[in-house]
Amino acid sequence: MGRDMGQALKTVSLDDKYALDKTRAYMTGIEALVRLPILQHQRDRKRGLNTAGFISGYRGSPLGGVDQAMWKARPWLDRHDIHFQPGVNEDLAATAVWGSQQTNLFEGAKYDGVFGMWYGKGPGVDRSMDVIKHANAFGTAPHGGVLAVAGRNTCSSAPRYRC
Amino acid sequence: MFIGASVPVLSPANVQEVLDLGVFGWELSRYSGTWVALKAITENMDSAISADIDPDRINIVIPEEFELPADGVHGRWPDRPLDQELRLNKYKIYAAREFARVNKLNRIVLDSPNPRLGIITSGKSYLDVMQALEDMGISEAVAAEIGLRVYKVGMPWPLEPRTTHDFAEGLEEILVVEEKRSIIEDQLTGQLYNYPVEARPRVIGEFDEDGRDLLPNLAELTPAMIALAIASRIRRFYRSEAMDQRVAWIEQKEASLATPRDTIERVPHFCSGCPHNTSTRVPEGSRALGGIGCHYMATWMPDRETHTFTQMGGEGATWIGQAPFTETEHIFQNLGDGTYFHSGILAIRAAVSSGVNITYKILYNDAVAMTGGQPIDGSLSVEDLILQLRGEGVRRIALVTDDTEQWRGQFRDLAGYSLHHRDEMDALQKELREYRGTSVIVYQQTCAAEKRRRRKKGAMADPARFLFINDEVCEGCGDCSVKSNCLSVIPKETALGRKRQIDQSACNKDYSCARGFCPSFVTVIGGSLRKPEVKQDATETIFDPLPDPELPTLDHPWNTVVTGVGGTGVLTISALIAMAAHIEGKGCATMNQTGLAQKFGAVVSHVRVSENQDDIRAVRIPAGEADLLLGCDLVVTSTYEAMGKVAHHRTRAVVNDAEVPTAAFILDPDAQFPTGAMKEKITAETGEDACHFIDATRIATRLLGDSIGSNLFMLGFAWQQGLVPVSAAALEQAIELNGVAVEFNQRAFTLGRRFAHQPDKILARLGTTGELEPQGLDEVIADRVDRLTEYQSATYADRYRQQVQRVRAADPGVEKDTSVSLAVAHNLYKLMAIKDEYEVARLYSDGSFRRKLEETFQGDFQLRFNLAPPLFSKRDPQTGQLLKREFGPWMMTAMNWLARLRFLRGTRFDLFGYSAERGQERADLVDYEQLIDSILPHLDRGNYRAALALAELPAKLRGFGHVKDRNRAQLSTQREALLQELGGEIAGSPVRFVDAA
Repeated sequence: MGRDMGQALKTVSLDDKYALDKTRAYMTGIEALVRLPILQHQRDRKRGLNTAGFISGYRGSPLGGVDQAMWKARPWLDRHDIHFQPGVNEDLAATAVWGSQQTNLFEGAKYDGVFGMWYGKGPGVDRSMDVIKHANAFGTAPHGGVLAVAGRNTCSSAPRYRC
Repeated sequence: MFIGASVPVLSPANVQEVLDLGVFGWELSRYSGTWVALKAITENMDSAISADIDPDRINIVIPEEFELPADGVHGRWPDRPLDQELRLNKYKIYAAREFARVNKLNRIVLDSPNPRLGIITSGKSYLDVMQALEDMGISEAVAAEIGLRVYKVGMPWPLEPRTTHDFAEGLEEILVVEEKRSIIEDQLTGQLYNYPVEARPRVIGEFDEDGRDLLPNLAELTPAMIALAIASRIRRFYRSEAMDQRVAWIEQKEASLATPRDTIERVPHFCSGCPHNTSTRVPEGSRALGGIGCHYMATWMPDRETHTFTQMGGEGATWIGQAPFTETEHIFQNLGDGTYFHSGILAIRAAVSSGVNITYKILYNDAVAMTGGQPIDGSLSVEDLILQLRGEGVRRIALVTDDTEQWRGQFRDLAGYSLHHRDEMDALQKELREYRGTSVIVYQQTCAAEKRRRRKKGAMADPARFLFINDEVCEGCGDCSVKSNCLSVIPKETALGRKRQIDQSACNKDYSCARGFCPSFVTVIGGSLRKPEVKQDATETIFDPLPDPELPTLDHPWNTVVTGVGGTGVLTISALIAMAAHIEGKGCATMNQTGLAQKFGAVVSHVRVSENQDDIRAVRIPAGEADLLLGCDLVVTSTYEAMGKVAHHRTRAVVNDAEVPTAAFILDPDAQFPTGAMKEKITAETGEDACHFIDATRIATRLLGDSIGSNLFMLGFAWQQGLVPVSAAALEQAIELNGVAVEFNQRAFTLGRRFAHQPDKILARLGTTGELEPQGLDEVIADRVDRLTEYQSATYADRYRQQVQRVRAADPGVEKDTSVSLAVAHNLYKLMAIKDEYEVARLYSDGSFRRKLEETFQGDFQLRFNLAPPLFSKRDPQTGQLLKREFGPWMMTAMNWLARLRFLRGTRFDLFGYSAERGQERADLVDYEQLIDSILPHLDRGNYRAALALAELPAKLRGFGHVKDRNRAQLSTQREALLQELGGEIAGSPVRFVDAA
């Protein structure tokens, strides 16, 4: 092995994770959350749905890097009609995502539907339950849908001396 | 939480499933009209893999059997609450269940024709279960033979009953493996309740059938814990050698990890130069409340009096419920600017309206540092902040900053507003704690981590201004560490004891350490840090091409544990290995355990590389299955998180054994670093021949000019040893893709390779080892006699020699490594070489200081001195302590002259000698000489230890001015106790305190 590996190397770029012509890319879980709405948009387009995406939430462990990753991916998100608007806090962000599901109830909607993504750390989920209950009871749009990415820290680790 | 809102929950097992279940999630949400929660756990978010991103990967099936209401399940207007409730409870939840069923979100992954034991699991735990089975040699065929069935649940709530029923059918027992709360277990038992009793399987999980703990819900489950649980159930009807071996190994490992040992801990700490180091101090007699944000770390710093915290947005409200019922009059509350913007402003409104006495300290850092330096959402400016506070009814607002010029003249018309330099923080806080009602300090200083980022990118000026410690002048008192709370002030072990130095690689130039009370700090202005000079021919030999080693084969995933200190690029190492594997088309997974380790905390990262992505189950490396332990920090490497992963005959360890201080060192100048014990632990767990210990920090600093290169150096070393399963070409490409300090990192990597290949070539370039050889008594005496001759005269040195000789003659323990004679040789010198004005001047002007400066800095630089000569300095009106001032380069000339005047010392023309401080220091010397003379006749009476301790006391009489006075007062108590121990026969007088008036 080793020596002749040099020739076998693939052309890899950091942009692969958001590019369309690739089927495999190295990415973190956070970056997967950026790729996810792009995937959804790709799928919608393929079946003739003209959708858009809306993402809002508030950072915090383990979702500390979501907003940075979204900002970095701005050109790709723009290309897929995905709008990222970080929230002032989690509950207002959730309310905004709720709103995205009401777009097509009124005239003037530019898309067939808006799929929404909300994100928040554990305590952010807790403080947003009022909104989430209301928004869930209200319902989603037929060509929208809401994914609530709910952070939770598991790395409180095993008790000492358990392996 | 989501159950209460009737929101279906999806639980991805790894990054791939984040993508897969995410797509299912939206489709599910569209079909059922509900929101859909996607669990995001640390294990998945902080991990990375080579993922399949084909958009056609997921095929959605729309349920045919389920009948939706005629008007659908989607949002509408107008809409009545009762209609919503009906829609949700009668249709939406059931639609979600049916969608999960037809799309096989839950499925049986291992089965048997004669099933007995079933395991139901979800998310990350599913991978842990599969790993546990693999580790016990339970393959698909074995599972089928022994009657094992495994059911993977992608949607833990609501648990789809039809597939679950199929799973439960025919089982004797079901083991539920899930993280934390028993969501699946409760639903499962509910669904099984109506089974006929004889066909109903037993359900165990958190507890076994007798209520004993089986899989605790307090902590994260690991494959090892799960293996023990599964084995305890399987062993009733099946045994195998592989299973017995694994169980025995785990039990032995856990026993070994539980053995008590000498170790220290890496507690996360504020960044070097972080504003919180100063802003979170409280004046004596006050206390503060913590909150969420980096400043939370103040709650575990012993000198910060910061206790309890609230959720974001609750800051200060706890005080509203306490204030009426306590004699405490006032409280400080820390509040980050990010949290203020998020929700904290409401809490301030609550404080104002309740009328309690509280001072908020709003820590305005310009960035949300804790989660990686984002701008505050909507960019809150200091101006907006102050006007908002005023609008909320805060009548007393103070702006504190490290740069008052920037704000001079602003807010002129705002009543109750004042501007302060951060040096006035203590006085200001004392004023505000007397203020009635709510007051606010806006503490404005840019986050240190953010400054570093901006400076690296060139977006912020990097001042050519450095601090440097003259270690000959330094007393090792640690006042600079206390004043700055900074971990870039690090110990420097010298022949004259532990001194301080600035870690120039890590310093963020906040300069607050110069406030430590001593004359050993100089400010270097202009110039730059010296780049290591490697001669042209030398460059070629060190960085030349090297032979390639045989790389590991990948018949099983190759596992690397990387450990290190938060904020030093440890995670980059694992990302590089994984990216290199991806470049080669291999499978890879990384997982980072960082906890709250923004900075200086323990970081453990797991990297797995395999031939194919599917070969990797749990991203976390299972117990005992590390092939390489890349220990970038000795302390973290010796913790159980890393030691649990290693095993004899499998793991090879490459460990950086540099002594990188922990936060304990800030408040304890004598904190010990148990290098020996930690190395022993690592060797014991890994095996004698399997460990390499390298002082990579020193090599990187010397040969690359920056200690940050040590981690890539370590990787290069391990690679050359054939311990990294990716090619050098792929790693180098990964370094390029990473895009940060590409050339530097590639050089560090090559240097590490060279060190593995030809260690002598590297060692030869390091010069002196830097290790201190213990000096014998004769050597110490000769050295100190020389020093005292330089200090004053041969006569003065002779006084020293004779005293030490007297002790030596009477010392029965003179041959021991630690003897009273040696203690006196060290400590008598310390007391005789009083660091008065002449001596400090001499230590700056004797040439050796200049040499040390030149070794660290290059270019055209000027010096400024930070001094408080008692004769010329003002005192702080608050504390009465002398104030340091900066003196220009002319001071060097003055010192040259002053050093030559040292013959005046002790004469009536010695102007400096009349100060109280010098008088006290002369008294200290005389007291010590008398004390030693008086204990000499008693040295052989079995109380040698106490005599030795007494002789060593002056070592702790460290510092200058008030710092030294404080230490002296503390030592007098110890001295009394030791004299008592010596039997009271000693005519030792109490420490004399010369009247300072």
